[in-house]
Amino acid sequence: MLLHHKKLENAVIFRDSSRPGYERCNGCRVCTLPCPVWRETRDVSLTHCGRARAVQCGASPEDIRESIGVCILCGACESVCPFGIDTLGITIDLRYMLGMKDPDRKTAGELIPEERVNKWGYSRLILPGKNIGSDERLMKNLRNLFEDSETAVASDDGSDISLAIESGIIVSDERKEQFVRSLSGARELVVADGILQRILKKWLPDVSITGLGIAILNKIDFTELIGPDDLYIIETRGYHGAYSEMVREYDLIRKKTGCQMNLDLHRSAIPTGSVGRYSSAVSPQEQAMWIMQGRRFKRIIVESPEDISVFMSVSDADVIHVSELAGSQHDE
Amino acid sequence: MKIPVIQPGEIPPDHVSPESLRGIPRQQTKPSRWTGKDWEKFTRAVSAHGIAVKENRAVCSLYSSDSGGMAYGMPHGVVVARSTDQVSIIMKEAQKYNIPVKVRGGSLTTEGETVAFGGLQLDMTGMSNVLAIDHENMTVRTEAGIYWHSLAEVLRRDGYDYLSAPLNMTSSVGGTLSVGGIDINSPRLGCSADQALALRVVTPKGEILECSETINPEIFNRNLLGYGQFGIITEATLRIRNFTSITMHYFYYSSLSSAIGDMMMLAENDASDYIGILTIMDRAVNLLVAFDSAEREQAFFAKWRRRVKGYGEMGFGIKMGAYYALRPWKFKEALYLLDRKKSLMPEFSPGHHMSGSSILDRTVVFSKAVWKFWGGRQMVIPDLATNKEKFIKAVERGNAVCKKYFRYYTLYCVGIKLTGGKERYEMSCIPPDAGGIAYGCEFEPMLEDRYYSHDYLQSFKNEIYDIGVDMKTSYYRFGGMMKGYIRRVFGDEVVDRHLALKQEADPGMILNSDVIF
Repeated sequence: MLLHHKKLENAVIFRDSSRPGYERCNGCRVCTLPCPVWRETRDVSLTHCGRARAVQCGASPEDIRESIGVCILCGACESVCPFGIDTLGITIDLRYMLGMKDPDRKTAGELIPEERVNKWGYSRLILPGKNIGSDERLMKNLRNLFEDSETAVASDDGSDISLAIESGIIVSDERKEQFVRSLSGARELVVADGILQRILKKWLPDVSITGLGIAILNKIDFTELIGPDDLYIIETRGYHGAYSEMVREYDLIRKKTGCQMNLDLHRSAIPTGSVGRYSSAVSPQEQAMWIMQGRRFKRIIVESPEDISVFMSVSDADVIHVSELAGSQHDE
Repeated sequence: MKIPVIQPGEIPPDHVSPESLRGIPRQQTKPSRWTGKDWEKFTRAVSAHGIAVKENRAVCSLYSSDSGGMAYGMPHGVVVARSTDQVSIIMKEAQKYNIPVKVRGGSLTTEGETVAFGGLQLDMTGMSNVLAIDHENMTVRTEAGIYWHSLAEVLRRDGYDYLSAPLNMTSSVGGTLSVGGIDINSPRLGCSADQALALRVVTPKGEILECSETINPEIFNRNLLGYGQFGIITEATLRIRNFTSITMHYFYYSSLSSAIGDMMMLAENDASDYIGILTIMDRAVNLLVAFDSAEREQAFFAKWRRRVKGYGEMGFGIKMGAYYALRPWKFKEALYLLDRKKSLMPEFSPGHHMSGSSILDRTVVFSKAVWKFWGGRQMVIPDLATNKEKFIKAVERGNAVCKKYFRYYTLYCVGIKLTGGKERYEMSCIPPDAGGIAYGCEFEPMLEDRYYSHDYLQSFKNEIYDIGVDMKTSYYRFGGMMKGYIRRVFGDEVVDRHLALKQEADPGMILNSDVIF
């Protein structure tokens, strides 16, 4: 085993070490098929396959800096890898290793003020994420849908932690502890952020973690509200993070409603790339055009609020957030 | 040719190396081995045209091997092709400076055919756009670096599908057309190369040519099944069809010859839309037949099912149970079979790829299973391609070789419908004496995590290929590391004729050298 293999193992922050690492990659390139970076650049060196093969051949994270940076962490590669390699975890760990060499390396660790710490006493907490959290209209929808004596919208939704992980920045133990402690009283967490869904499953293995889209659909009679004229856009990070369950859940929704989804032939969810850090390799509009190509629909329903403006910029169809379906149910 | 039995401890002559072959003269096909001369001049010339040559070691290392994982090399630099014009410039400059150019698409070769041992690696997957779909004539024009799966993604949005392609999602169109391309519908539709209606090709000298059966037909026929010797396919027009889901049925045998007999009987009578054999050693032989329509399926059950000797799943289970109950010393083998079946079969009918009992995305389903259960860091898949008469014997002999070398292995048998005696079939995977339908069998050991030396694996391949020499068959993978067999199996007259054509087309012998010549 090469020396840097060891280094990478020691640097694991996100990787699921029970799953195979890049050393298992045989270059089959199946992971490139759903990769948005691959679709837009057709450059294998910018994909997971490229990174894995380069590292196998002795490349350092520095050598593949561009490739590590352009990944949008949608996790589609992970859902199709025949060998079950933890592709997303490896990429995040490589980002972390790059950050280690940065002289201005930062640690995300500022504790949030006491008044914003999540209060105990609720069995279900909603973590809406930064973009929903700052949108009054969407927040109102969420409150209408979920608010009861058992449920609360989290005041600390861990957006800073998610951004730090995505960027390969280590989160300080104090901040992590503050966040996890504030959530540990809940039995169920509804988490909009796909990266946070993954990490919370690791940190809080006994708590049920649900994506926001599925949680909303479970709250309403979606068979009445979604139909064949709808194009439903799944949030990709959460979907691929729990692919084997999610593929079944969404397949059922698709069959019950007849709607179309941003799924490819693998049943990977095609991302727009609008969520999270900007990637120079992926144009959300291009991706949205690919999702829509050859599909006939009258309305687009998105799970990620970031996708609203993306689809509005390339389509004349109505674009709504999934939480607005509840409003239409109330209106009726 | 008889290969002498070698006693342990005795070092044999290398029966593959040309030097050891009495009566077969060694031919120096290339003017001289390239040593890196003029590489800088070449890259400067190419870069002047705005073509990026990546020489970064981290990028070059991505191309260090192919799917076989047995041959390793490093290019001096890599170009991800973006247009036919770029490819043309590269070939013109490469001829000028005598730079070897190795082309790759999905790099699904197993004998190092797409591995560059120095020189330029031309990655064609940069040309992956679908250019036009002709709804009236049911054809698609596509750049040739595209993976079949990516082509299927685009076609499906309009309700179409390609006709036949390898059961592997990351085979590229250009690479497949260059070697054949076998699907389980090939007994009906022929190989992928026979689905091509027109090509755009860059010749080894850099000329851009359109070709088809009527325009530049000799270029068309040299490039289809030409193993990349006579040009680089940059665009292709292919036949397409309306998309259908498929319904699959499995029949089980414990006898290879019975299963193959049934496969050939059904293929020759066009009784199913898809047919092939997949085995677990020679113990559990699975004949799979599938249909595009309920009508074809019903016709099969009305007319042909009774003639099929295979068992259903339950009947075969009982038969196997009885077999192993009487042979308790084969307990481990029984466990392996059970375990393999248990993990493998659900992969062929995952709920989200099914519509009732029909498979929606057969390529995805099959290809995933192929990689998951047969893929690995090293893959050794020698094969034999024969006419109808020789096939059962060839498979039985190959099976005996598999048994000799490995505890666990798989055989995969398919048919290939031939459309006349096409010029392109000469010196290809199509056996010269085949008519109607040719047949092929891949012999794949399950290497799993066990370690085998390169010599051991190569010896296994050689022994399979020796059967081909003895029985006068052909092979699918005769290039790269196996090219020592080319003269032995095709004969000097044919090879010399192709060599003369190659030397005329590619004076520097720079395009895909070491694949065939």
